[in-house]
Amino acid sequence: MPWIKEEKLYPIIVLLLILIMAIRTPLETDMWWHLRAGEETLLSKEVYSVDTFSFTREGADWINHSWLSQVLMLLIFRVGSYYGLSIWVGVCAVLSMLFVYLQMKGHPLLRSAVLLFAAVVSSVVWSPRPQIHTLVLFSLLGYLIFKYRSTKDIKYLIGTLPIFVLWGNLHGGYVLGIILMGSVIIGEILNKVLLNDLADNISWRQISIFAVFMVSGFLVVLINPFGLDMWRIPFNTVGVETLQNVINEWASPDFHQAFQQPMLWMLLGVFSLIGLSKNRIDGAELVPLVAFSWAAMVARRNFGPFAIIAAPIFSKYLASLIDDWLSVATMKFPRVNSFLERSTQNNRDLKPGIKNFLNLTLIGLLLVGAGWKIANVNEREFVLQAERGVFPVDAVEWLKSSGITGNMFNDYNWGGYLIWHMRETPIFVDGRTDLFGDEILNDYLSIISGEPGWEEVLEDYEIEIMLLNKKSELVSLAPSLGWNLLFRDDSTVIFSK
Amino acid sequence: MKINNGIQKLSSILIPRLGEIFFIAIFAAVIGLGPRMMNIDGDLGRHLTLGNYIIDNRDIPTGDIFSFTKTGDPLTPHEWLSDLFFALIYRAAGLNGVVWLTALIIAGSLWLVYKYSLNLSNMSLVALLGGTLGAAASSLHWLTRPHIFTIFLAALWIGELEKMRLGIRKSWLIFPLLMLVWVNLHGAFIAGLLIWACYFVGMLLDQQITLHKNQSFFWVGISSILVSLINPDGIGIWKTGFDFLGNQYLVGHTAEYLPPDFQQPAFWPFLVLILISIFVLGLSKKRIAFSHLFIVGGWTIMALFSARNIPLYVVTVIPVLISETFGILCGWKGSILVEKFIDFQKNIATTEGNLKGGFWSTVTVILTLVLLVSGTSLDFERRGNQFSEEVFPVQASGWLEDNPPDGNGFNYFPWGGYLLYRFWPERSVFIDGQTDFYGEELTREYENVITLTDGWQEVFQDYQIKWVIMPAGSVLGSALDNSAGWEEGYCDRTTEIWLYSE
Repeated sequence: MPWIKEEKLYPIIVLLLILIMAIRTPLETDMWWHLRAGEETLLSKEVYSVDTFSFTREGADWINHSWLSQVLMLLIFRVGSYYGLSIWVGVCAVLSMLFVYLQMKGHPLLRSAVLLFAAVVSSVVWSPRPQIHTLVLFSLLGYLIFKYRSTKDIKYLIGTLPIFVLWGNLHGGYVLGIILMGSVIIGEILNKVLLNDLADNISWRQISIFAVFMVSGFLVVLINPFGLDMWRIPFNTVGVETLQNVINEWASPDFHQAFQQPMLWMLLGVFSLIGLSKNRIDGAELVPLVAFSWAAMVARRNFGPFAIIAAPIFSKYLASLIDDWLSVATMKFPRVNSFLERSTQNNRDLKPGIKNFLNLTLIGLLLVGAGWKIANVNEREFVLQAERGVFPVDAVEWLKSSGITGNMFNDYNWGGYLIWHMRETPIFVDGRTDLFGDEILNDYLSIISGEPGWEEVLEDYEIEIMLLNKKSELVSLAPSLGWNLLFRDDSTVIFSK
Repeated sequence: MKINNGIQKLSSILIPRLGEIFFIAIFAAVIGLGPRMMNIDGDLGRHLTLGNYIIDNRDIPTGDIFSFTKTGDPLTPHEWLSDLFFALIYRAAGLNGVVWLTALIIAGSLWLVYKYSLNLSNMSLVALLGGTLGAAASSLHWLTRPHIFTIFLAALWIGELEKMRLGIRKSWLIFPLLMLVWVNLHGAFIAGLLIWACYFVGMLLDQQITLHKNQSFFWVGISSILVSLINPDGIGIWKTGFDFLGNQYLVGHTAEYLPPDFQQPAFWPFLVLILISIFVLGLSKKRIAFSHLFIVGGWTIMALFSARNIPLYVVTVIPVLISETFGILCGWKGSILVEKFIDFQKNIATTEGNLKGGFWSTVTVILTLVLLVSGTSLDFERRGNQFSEEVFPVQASGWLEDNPPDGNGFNYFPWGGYLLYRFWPERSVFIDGQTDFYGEELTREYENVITLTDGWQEVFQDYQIKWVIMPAGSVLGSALDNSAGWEEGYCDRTTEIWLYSE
């Protein structure tokens, strides 16, 4: 008898592969301001909610919806530095995919392969920031809904309430959970009204109970330091019109980029599989699939939730299609049948001892791989080199040693890094779009793109230093307009007035 | 009795079918958007200039005649026949004629979508809804450019292929004829072959094609591929297309090849269509035919890759979706509402069967041309079909005529076509919208200049640039303001011109 059965071996291998995939050097541009906000919260023992990091919004109230994630991230960073954050992202990615696996149907090998595919789609949002917690909670919620629908046991719905309480303090993405529950309800109603031939439909009473828990989930989100304001967060964020111009993850997908294409293939795969199926899809699968396809098309940050919803449908219909084709193939071509029997027999013939050895060797190798990656991508010199490619590392050191002061205009993507590394210098803008709003972000865009009048905008903010990406068009314009070049390296240019 | 017969006959002519109303509505909408269509895209000027050259010289140029940066370099004139049509109608009716022709082609394409949807579903209201959604999704690419001929031919092509699949059409000879026209009208003739490939492979998998059955489908593809070589550049037309599509830099820097941006409401109808297709495939109880699956899947991918493929998605995918929707509604026949709806559709079909149609659409098309030629503005904003002063350097071109600068000029890329329209053959351009011809090297040089990337001044030296025409407020303008030897010669709300003196 092998120690690890086949149905467990495949997911273990795939989850380890996912762990290896998810462990990366923490280079997220927003990570640093989250850590600094977490630090302020811990120091003052009060949730950080009034801006002190920027001079453009200094003193303004800020609904810090991710305060608990920030504290958690800071504690991990203090204990484990980059290693800690890197492992934490890996663990969250694995957890989010584990709950997806538990909802899948079909042979374990097929489920594992689809899970790996879903992980690739989802991987674009794996980074050390509060959003990763949304991914885990969303996946867990999906699993509880799946269990409720298959067992009709109310304990799974009760389990959703603590999720929403936690979610309301970890990240504003709780709204995705509400959308998921809402779309399941619409799907169930569709099942009742039009698709009444489905065997295990839940009853109207069960749908009502489900709806009560959805409303309760929405209400318990209010258990957080900002109370009712938490409901405003999704609207505040989405309401910032310049969002997609500044933040890539809020933009619509660009499928010319290879790393975004897996989402497209998964979408194509899902709708090909449901098209080739001779059965109607369950409404409670269909409506969430449509809702989260829409969400992923509008903003690429929703690739993760899309993959979590699509993967179980993908595996279910792929498994059914393969079964259909195999039954036809075995009838038409007897050799297929004998091949399948032979391969099963070969597997059975393998002695348990050899199986255990092979399985444990494989798992051991993957664990070693994970350990090797953790050690390498977080090694100090490697991290520094990687940071130099993303952040103005040397320019910041130079600025700190120069003693130059004054209002500084900075690249949007560097704001967080400056908040952590230049603690005494307030920044112009960073990733807190809901704090800065359209007014500051539009001013930022007009300056950075050298729009007519950009110099006046700079003057309005009394900017004396500009910390620019070397590729910025301002680099060529500034010298002729009286700006003095103070520093220049491969990535950064500093000007002063 | 005779009077009754006469009234019946007259009614059958005068009462329009739903499809005809749809055609007229789309035609009117496109005419109403005339100035917008002409001014969104900068290439119309180039097409008219090339078409005029062909008429005047009875020659299709296979080398560059429009730029000073690539003069004489081999050029694939993959749109020469469209340019000729545009120039002919331009000579007869001016820019109004160009808009009229575009409206006719677009309305015709969407009418074909409606007609094929109706043929596959027998439900005119559902077909009408599909056509309307298709019109909304494709309206972004209602432009006065050769792409419209591809939209029309793709609609016609897939309709005829579907007829062959269903056994209604037996002969395959129409396909090489269509391809002969297509390959000379527009470089996207390859779309036709892709559609054929979807059908061919799909029917093989569905076992609708075997060694003994439906071999004519094979000849559709072979004959069309061979016929596609009959064009001024022969096999070169294939090479040009693949070279361009294989160049990620050029594709990534050509606006129309960029993916749809669903943050923009203009793309929402397309998104709605994608979501509807998931719904339709999910709700369908029968397995979709592979040929239809390849069409839906393939064109969804193509349109998500490049927004310019959305109109092709519309003409190919909508009839398939409507046909699948029909299957779903038939599966819900137990529902009273659905049964009443199907009965209502049958009544409409019976009524329409007695109508001839065609009268009002013919009148509308002819009357519109007459009104446009007589100088009536039929666009929604009553601006008339002309190049907009807010988009193109219209007034600045007047100044250039009065104050012709010496030497080579660096121009804003989207204005290349307009400058050719105004000044060629007296002046050539630095670059225009034909990115596949200008290639990556020159396009990068152009980009370096307008973004002031290191070394941009050397590009000016290499091409001996003596004057620059750019939109008002450009960063290049700001840089030239502070560069030695350059001074602003002209400025209005749209345009700034700088002149260089030693």
